[in-house]
Amino acid sequence: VVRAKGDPWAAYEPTSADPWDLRKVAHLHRRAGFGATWAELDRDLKAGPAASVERLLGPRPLTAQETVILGSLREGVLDSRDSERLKAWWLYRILYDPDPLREKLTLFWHGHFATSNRKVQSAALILRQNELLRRHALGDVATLLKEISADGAMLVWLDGANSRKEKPNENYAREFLELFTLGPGHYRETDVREAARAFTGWHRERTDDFRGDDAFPFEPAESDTGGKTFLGQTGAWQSADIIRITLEQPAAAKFLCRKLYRWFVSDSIEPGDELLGPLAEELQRERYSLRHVVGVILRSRHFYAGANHRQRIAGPVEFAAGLLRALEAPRADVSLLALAAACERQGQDLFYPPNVKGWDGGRSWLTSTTILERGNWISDVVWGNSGLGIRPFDPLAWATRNRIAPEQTMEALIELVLQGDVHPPARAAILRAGRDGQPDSLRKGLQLILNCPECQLV
Amino acid sequence: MANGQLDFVVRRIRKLAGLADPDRGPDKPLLESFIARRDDSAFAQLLERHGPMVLSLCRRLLGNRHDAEDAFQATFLVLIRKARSIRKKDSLASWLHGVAFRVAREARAKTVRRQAHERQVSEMSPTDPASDVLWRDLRLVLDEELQRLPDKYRVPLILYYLEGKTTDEAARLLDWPRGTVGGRLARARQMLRARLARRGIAVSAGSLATALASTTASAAVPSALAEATLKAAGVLAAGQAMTAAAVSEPVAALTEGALKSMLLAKLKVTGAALLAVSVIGTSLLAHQALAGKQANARQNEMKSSPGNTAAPQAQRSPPARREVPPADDSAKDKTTFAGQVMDEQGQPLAEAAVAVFASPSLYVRDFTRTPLAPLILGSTKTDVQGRFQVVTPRLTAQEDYFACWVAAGAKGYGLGWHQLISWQQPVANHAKYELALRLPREQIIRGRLLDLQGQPARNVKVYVKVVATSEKDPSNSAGVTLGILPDNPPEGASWPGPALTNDEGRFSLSGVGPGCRLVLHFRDERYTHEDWEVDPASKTTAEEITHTLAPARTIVGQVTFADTKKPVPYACLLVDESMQGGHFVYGTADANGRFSIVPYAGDYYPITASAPEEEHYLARAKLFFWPRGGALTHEINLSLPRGILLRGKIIEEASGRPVAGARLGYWLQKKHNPYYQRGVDIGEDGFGQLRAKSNVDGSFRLPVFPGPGRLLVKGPTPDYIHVETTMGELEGSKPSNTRWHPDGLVLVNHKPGSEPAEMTVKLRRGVMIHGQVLKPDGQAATELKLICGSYVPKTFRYSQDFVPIRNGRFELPGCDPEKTYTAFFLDEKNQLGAAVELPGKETNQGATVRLARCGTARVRFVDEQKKPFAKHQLYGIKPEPFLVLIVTPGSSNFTNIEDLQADAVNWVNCDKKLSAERFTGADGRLTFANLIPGAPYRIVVHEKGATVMKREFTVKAGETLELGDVVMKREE
Repeated sequence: VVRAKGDPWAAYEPTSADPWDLRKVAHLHRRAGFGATWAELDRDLKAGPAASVERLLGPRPLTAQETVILGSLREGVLDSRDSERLKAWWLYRILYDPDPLREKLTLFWHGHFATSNRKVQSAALILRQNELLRRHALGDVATLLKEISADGAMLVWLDGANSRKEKPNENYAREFLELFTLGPGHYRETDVREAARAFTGWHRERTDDFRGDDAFPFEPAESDTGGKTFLGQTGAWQSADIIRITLEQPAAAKFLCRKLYRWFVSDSIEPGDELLGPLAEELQRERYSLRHVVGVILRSRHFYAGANHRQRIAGPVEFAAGLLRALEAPRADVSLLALAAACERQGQDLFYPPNVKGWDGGRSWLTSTTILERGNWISDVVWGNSGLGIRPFDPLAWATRNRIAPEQTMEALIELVLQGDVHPPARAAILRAGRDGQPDSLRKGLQLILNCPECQLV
Repeated sequence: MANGQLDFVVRRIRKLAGLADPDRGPDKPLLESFIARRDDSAFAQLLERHGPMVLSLCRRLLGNRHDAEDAFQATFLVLIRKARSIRKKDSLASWLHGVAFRVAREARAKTVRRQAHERQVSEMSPTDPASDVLWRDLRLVLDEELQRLPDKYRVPLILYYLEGKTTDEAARLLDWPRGTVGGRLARARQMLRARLARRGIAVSAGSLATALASTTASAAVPSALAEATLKAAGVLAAGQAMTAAAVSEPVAALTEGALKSMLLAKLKVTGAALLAVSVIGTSLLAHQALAGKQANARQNEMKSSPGNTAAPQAQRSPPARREVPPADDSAKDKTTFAGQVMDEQGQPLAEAAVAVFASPSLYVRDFTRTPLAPLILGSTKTDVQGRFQVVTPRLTAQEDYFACWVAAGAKGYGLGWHQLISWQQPVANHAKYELALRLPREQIIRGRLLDLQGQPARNVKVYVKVVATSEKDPSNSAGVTLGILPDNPPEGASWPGPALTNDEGRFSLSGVGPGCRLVLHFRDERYTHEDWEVDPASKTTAEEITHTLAPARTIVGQVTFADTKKPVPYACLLVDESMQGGHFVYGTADANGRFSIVPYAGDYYPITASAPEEEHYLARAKLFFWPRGGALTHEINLSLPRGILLRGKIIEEASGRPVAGARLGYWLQKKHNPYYQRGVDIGEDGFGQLRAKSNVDGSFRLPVFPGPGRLLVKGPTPDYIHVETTMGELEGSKPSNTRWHPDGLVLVNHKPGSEPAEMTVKLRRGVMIHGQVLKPDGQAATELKLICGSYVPKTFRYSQDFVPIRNGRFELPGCDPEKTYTAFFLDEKNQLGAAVELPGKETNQGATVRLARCGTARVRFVDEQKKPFAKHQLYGIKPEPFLVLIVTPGSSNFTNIEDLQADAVNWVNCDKKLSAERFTGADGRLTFANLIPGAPYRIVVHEKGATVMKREFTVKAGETLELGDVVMKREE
């Protein structure tokens, strides 16, 4: 598709007036992932926007060794049934996986489908759902919806496993229309009832397995195969038909694009039709390919526009994990359990979203308590916390690893974190703090950097 | 940068600085969000729903009405404060039970301190609905043991019994199938009974159910209390401080204490740092100094951390390990293990290492022993014919060893073994075993250990704790528990493990046959202790198995003497773990009484400390919850109370010979005891546990609490005559309630600080009644069960043990020649049985018991409207009928708990296979088969929170007895 010159979604091309700079590179990584290391910033600054986005959309596969390690961590979660280890397992992927965009979208879909282990009570089922979300994070929406409708954790969470043809449970159908696809105002109560009938037929087969990894087979006899009228169309609709008919609605594409916009571009402004319209058309035309529409967003002029930089309040996972990622904290120096606990204290308890709507996000992330907790986490990461298994950050080792001269360390850290988005007096104070180049002085400076309000934004 | 979001962040940070008012505290925003979602009526509903359970628990543990009500209020105030962090919303009952338990324990400790201060001993509240002695015994430990059960068992138990829910209601609340609830309830009761039995409280299933159910019925929440709690809750939820909440000081203190122990998100950033956060973004001038201070504070913190303290005070080396006294060493008390070790083709294997080893039971706590390590009773090597012979002390006392094995290992071969004792199998009482052990070729197992960051776990020792065959293999028992035995293997043995991981976290294990399942065990101060079950059969042999280890949690602290406040050098510590229990970790403090222990993974931990050499001091136990929030260390300090050291000797009355290996327990009298402090946490000393053993010369030393109490002695073997007593007598009043069967009983009563003289305890050796059992056709009966009320080999109370019986011959030890014993024989397979009176005489040819055909009884269960209970599940669903064999007669009046109760065996629950899936017929009928002719039976029903006696009957040989209708009350 050739885009008109005024099209906000036309691809960004660097010009001398609007060059590809460190700000844009860091912006891309904050939004498409969980922040970048010094080397990644450097690499993508040289590579240019097109290659950088392509790398995010087509990352290297896991090595055999990485696959084994991930498998082992996964087994550890299943064996221990420990929700804290479950969180640590995902945070491992968020920190170390070569495919940060996929993890970022998995987090997006986790907030979207907002299934809480508080009700599901099974690390195994929750883990499976997380893998489902990851598998389809960049796939097509229809397949994602089809699989999530049959997912064990979801069937428990919204009572689909208790929904029989004689007595359909409407919880899933209702959230499917209101929260997952169309949003309120685009369907009627009868549509909920008819959809609920079509979603019947799943039941839970409990295993006496220690892990609680129950199966959820489909029982055709329990499924309502009768005629239904759904969103104005009449037929013997099954769940696949409900998904198809729903996605035919222009409202569905717009609903999803609005959420993606808030996730990738800005959560401070409400995008108008001039922004959402073309994006939604694109999504429908490309058969709801998420990869396609995410690619359009990440390549676009609108995405890189200065007005959109640091326009989202960092979520706790973005904030807490982003810090470790940017600073390349050696694996032996961090504790993923402590990271999970920090995210929880900052208001984002992974796998335990507060309700069916997920986390409100945006400004609601920042309360007095959570701001304090963010400050605590900064302090733990910078100075270490032996009680949590976190070692102090070593600024000089970081500088050496990135071939930065010791005396340049403080400046480089400012660039790494703030890329110039810092008031001159603050910059001066930071440089003063780290001026003698001693590790503790550099840590003081780094703590000041990370406590800048700009750091709460991505 | 014009940025609305940035302005917002800055505003928020400024607001935060404005809020940093110490009076209101940082909880305010948290509470605000709570109020946004809760309203008064919702809270009132919660109070109504869970109040009785909480109140009854508080009453159980506290006795005093005021204390109980304070604890009740505090529990609900904690709920308000912690509402947001409760995970298991659908098991709020269980969460509240846990909180109430902690609050009440804390209150109990406070009460004790208060009473000590005021020098007054309060009596049990006269209004206490359950003032009988068994109940008093049970009530102090019931909730603690409930707390130790895994969630899936604890939660249904709490709902069903403590909250009085029906199985259906519980199933709905938990979203479990009804059958699952029933099955888990059944299992939960078994676990609870087993745990109580370990504390010396032997309760039958029926009386446990009654005790559980009777707890809540009496605990309606007084309306004044409910109102006061609601009011306080409302004020607290509105964000006001507790002092303003019309909460009494003790309630406030209890609430705060509980909250503290639950560890709210700790806000380490203090006022100064807060200010630092607030100013940044506008002016940064003050920052350097502040950040610098914080860094200094951190450094100071590190300097004062435990472990870096001053030089040791006591110049003393760690005590040597105590030897476990050998069992009776006389010549006739030996067991010989002989046999041959071969390869799979039957070729003898020379030079194979053979060992006989046993897992000591936990009845006798020996803090100096390495945990998990079975004791090697004897070892040898095979000769050229592959033959071996090991002679060990006679294995008689099942309570000493709960399992015993003979195992053989040879280079290049997998381990082979035979299990000789298991918990199901009574002790084989005979002198010689002949065993054939076939060893398979070994299979090398390769594995890799990683940490949660995916890095190799280096230098970790991998122990093989259990080796088990795949279940299909009939030639061996399922498994052999090696513990961490290979640390100290018999000479030249090729035992599997231990292995050490290399730099890549890799290890390999040999000495295990193909297809074996393994439990590997990791002990390393860097990682949490863990058992990992490996089933190589599920993988190809070449494949590497991987496992991740979570970081260690470390308990640190100091053990001191309560009176002198001085440290206890080399104090012994024991930490259990909550999830499964029995995962003990032992530790030793340093010369300054400081310790650091890594327990198994769990969420709360009972920890016990004792002094290794200062024999006057009692052990101290504490239970604590691991704080949430990822902390890796937690500090617990323990102080040991000073007791009275009892010293003496145990001898046989007739011969004067010393009795070695006799077990001693102590029952502390709580009534009329000026020194007893109610609720004082002195480890297990209050519970009459088996706590010490006599040495080879019969001598013993045992610290006990001051004031009146009874020293209880159990012979090392079941050969001694019991001294019958009851719980009431142990408490210094008239006989009542529960029988106790020690072999020796001495009243002691010493003032604090006294040094009592040596005492002598005499045990009477009884005769052994023996004989043969014949089937009606004159053939010897094999596969028999023998039940006799005088056979109490394990603890001081009757615990339903079967008398060992082999090849149709029985031996009933410890009989008094003056008495006659009632014995019940049952051959379930052939449906034969006999109830006989055996005179306590030892004769040469022995007694002959002839079995007769078992009888049958038929019954129909109906409700009060005569409507049958059709297809009624018999286990785990109320009303719940039990068929009970009365072993020793006693009162059948269940409502009068002062009466001496019957010792009964509940080994038949309407169906002799304790199945959770049995139902009455469509007509409500049920047939009890396999009834021993002439034996007294009883049908009791657990219904509507009570256990009710319905029928008593006996059947004649071959008879089918029609019992008619048994009326049970239907649950709503």
